[in-house]
Amino acid sequence: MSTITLQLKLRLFIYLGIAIFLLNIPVIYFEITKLNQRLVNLELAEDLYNTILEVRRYEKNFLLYHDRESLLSNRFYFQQASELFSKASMQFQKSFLGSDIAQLGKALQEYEKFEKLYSNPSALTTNERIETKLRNAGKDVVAAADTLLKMQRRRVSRAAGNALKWPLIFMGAMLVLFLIGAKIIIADVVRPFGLIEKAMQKVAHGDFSPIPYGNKNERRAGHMVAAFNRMVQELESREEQVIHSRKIASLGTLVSGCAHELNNPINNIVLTADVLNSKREMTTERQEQLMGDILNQALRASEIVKNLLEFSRAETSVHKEFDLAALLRETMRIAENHIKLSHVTVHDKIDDNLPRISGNHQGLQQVFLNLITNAVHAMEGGGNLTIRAQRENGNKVKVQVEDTGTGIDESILPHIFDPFFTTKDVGKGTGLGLSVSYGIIKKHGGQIQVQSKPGRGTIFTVTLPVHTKIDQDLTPPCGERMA
Amino acid sequence: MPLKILILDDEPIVGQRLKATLEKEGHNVETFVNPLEAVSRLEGKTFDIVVTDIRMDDMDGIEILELVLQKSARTKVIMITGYATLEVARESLAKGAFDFIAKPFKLKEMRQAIEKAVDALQQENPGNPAGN
Repeated sequence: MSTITLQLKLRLFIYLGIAIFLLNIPVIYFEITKLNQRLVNLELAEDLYNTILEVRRYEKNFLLYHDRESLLSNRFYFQQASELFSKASMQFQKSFLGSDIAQLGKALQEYEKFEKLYSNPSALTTNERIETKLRNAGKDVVAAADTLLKMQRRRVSRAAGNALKWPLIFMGAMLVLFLIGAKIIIADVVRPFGLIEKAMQKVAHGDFSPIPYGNKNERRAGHMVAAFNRMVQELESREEQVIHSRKIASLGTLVSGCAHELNNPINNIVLTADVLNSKREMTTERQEQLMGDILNQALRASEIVKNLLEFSRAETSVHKEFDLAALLRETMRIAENHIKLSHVTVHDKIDDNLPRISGNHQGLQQVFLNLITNAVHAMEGGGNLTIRAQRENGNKVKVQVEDTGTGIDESILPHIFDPFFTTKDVGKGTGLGLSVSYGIIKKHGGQIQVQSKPGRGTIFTVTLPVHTKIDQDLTPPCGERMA
Repeated sequence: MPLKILILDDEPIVGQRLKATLEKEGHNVETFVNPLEAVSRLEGKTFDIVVTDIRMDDMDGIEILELVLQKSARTKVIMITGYATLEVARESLAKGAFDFIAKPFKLKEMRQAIEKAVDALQQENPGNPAGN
């Protein structure tokens, strides 16, 4: 089945349908013509039969009254019957009624033989023996005509049956063909389209899992599915590049924040070293205190650099077990400067007894950093950022990032996870943050949802299974690609 | 001629180092880490020079600048920031800041800025730089 392409199959069905339809026309024409012919024959047979009955009626009258008139009429009708017979025998020979006609012919000859005995007037006297013979011959003629008529009727009814049967057979064949064609179209076109439509919706939300070739329906859609999967694969590799560039973009934002953050310890070091460097005299104790300050500030600077490096590290899909609470707090620390600059107050409601989860540390950190950054962006003039995390039923953890910012308009809420959708000004947002986040959470087998009230704030809820199984096949070797 | 100087930076070391240096030059220096405390002090006392960080947790250095100038137009305000962007500098200067120093800076740079402020104060009001 799979070796024949869909186009060939459909073409085959269309041609077959046309062939059946065309064949139908001559067959029906032939059947109707035959029926017509048989009706003519039947009429002839009826005329013959009726004429023969007339012959017999006058025969009976003659035998009763021995009158000349009856004999003449008998002769007249017999003549007519003979004419009809010769016409019929010509017609019926063609219709394979040879034996019936022949029998009637013989009976008529026999009848004529006895009838001729009455041709001379002297024979008008009765002769019991000849009368009986004439009667018997007459009966035979009627019986043969009757048989012929009945046969003729049967043939008419058979032809009528055929004339009805063939169109029905053709219609049945067309119906069967139509049903098979419809089934093929549904199986090979409609279902695959449905399948691909569903897969496309998933892709729109950043889930790039290919359509599996598992079940029969999917196999049937072979070509389309293969083409689709190729596209998805291509998209996914692009998406990975996009994730990377997105990371670089968010790194840019972070770097400017971190630059400020770094400036403080550096400034402290410069000032303190400057004091130490001055030629003023000071106590050893004072010197030690200043050296201590320098050391502490240097460590503080190195801590900031470490955070930055951790975020920018190349490998993105290392799958490991880690402490989610620690990840969330670390992410808050990375965003701390941005948060402070926007006068946002953070409320840490992270449950300290969160289970350790397994997943892509780097990816999840990117997701939460994205959510926090978005929340802060939504609260330019300050506000409250609440990070909640707790264990849920069914071995899941729920993380909520809630802000008291501008909120998201209902009309755009369905689009926020779409790639390249952004509400930020040109050049400020790539519109990839949430779609990328969505993809990462999906790969963890989790969910990301949003609730928002314009003017009141937004809550993003991420639900993650405690034990994630990332399908390694679906995760490209980022180490290679990202390197 | 000792001047009344207020230094506000949420990094305590900045205040500590500047205070030590400037006091050695004979000025009266008060340092604050918390902007709100500094504001309440500014409301009670008029300073000759105010040095303030721009980016702080509870309050913006620009707000401090506006508050100070509103109370005493002759006070010289020197802005410090780690965010050495042109926009911030332009904004603070447009709003009346006397000078602008980007982190990281050396003590000498701050001393020079203070000296410039002293000169300006003397030009405005010779003989009584403190305005008393």
